Amino acid sequence: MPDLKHFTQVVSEHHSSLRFFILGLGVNPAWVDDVAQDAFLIAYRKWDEFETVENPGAWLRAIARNVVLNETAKINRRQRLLNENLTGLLLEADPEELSADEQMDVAARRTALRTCLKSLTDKARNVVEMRYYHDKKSHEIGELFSMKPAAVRKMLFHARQSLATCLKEKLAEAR
Amino acid sequence: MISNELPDDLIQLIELLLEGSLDEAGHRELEFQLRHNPQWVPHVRQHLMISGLLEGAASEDSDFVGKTSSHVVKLAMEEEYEFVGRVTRTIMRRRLTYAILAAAAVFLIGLIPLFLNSPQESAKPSHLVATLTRMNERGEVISTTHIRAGMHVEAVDGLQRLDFKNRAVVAVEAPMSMRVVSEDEVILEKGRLNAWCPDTAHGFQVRTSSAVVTDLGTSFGVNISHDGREEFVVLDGMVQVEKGEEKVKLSEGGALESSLENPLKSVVFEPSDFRKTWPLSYGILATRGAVVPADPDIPAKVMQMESNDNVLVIPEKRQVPFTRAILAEINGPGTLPGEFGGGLYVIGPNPEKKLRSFLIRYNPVGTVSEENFLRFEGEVTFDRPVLAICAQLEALEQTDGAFATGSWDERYRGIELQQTFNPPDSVTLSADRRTVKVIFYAGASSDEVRVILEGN
Repeated sequence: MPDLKHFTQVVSEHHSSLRFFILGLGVNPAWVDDVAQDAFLIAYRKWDEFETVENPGAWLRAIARNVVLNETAKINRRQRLLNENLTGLLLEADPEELSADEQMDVAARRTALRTCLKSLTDKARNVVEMRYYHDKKSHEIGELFSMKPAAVRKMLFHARQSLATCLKEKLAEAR
Repeated sequence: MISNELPDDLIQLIELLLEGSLDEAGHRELEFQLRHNPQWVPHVRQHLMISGLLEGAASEDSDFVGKTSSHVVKLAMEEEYEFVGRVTRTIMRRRLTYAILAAAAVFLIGLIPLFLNSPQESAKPSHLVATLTRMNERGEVISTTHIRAGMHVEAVDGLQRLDFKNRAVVAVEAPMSMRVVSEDEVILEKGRLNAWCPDTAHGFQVRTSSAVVTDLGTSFGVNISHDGREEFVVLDGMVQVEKGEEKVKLSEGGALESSLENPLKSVVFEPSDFRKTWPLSYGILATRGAVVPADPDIPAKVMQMESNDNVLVIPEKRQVPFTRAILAEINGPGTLPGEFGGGLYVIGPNPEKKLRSFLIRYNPVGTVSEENFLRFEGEVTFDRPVLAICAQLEALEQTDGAFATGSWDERYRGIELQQTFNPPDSVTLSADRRTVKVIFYAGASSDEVRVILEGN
């Protein structure tokens, strides 16, 4: 078993990118931390392997991938997934390596996101804030801003695209 | 990775999925499109990540590292070492606490510039309204999750406890399904819950499909049975139950049944269904051995409960202002008799704090013959550290006024530190101050200790 300080240090170093990775497998955001904890528990029990792996992040992601794969097989626990078949497709398409922005440190990612939100148009930012900070559905946002729900959804989609591009740029600047 | 090449109908499906509004046909259509166009799957992956990031998932949760390390090590130790783990846990906890504190301190220090540089962002409402703790049937913590307003909580087994920002505590038994609307309101769709609301949470509401129960200073239970019947019981204080035009104030010991078809109906008060959730809402995380929680009931009845077979953990008053000094035989980790010799310690008051207490008591039905002593051993783990334990008559009587929910006429109270035919009774407070272990040799009289915890 690992030294406790060492284990805490490993959790500290990898939890951000691991939780971000789990999000990308279609796990319900409310359950991401649970799945990450399951993955760290397995990692703790397989610590002998950890000592020999070259890329701890990839090793932890492989464990998390199996945890999520198991979720798709357990009928009672599929609530952790947005759609178990979609998760199956995401697992099949899962890249071996995370991109640089996906490995970004948690604080850096949040800071970059705040900056990137400011780069959106006022309207797009308002829509994003209503959706994510005020828990409004697209039809409710549509009523607020006199937009059709489908237009709200399209705006949200493109806003996220802009944010993703911006996050990559911020990472490049930081390097 | 993200591009705008995706067709409009797929964009709509992704958005509906992310906002939780995609119907069954939509799910099938989304799967079909992605299965036949695998080149789009990575785009979806990126949107899931960015959306989750915006929702606050995988964010700078300063507790995650500490909680995860603690949780993982605890589970691993318990399952792999079992008995040995129990002995060594004290040492491990101490080491782990230092490690977690160090990690948390480093993490928090790292966050300081974030807050200093962006005061406007930090002033935004966090929307985190509660912490969800999932527990298995043995009372062991499986996970902890932050809950934001609007989140849906479901479980097929085990117990869940929600600690709201306003300090309301809701314990729910699975199978359960519930939406957390805000820190003042939940919608129970399925399951059985107990809520306890301190002054800061009065007005807390639990909605069901047919009615709304509003706390008026209380501990209450709501049960939605498998056939859809809804029942409200009040264990302490008062609630208001509202169904359309009907409004009924319900006091402790009262129960109402509600359904969509029929008006509110008074029913027999039967709180035993809440045997698992009621102790958890009071802060009893787990019991082992001969020690078990008292059965749920109104306070006056709970404090009179008797059992020939078990030592009962009996909740007493909560939210007691700490304005008077407390006399107690135990004021820290250790055993009485052992590290503690039976002398009284004085714990000075702290008006900023509130206290709560529990009796751990063996009180047989009738009396047991003096020649027929029985040995009871067990322990209870609370959700917060123990401040002091009153183990003998003087300390018990000195604290009765503040904490007891009824009066006593017993001549013999507390535990016996010297017995003719048996070893002494003993009480041990664990190193983390959350677990109290008792060994009682019970004869003609009852054995009891009062455990006092910080209430806030």
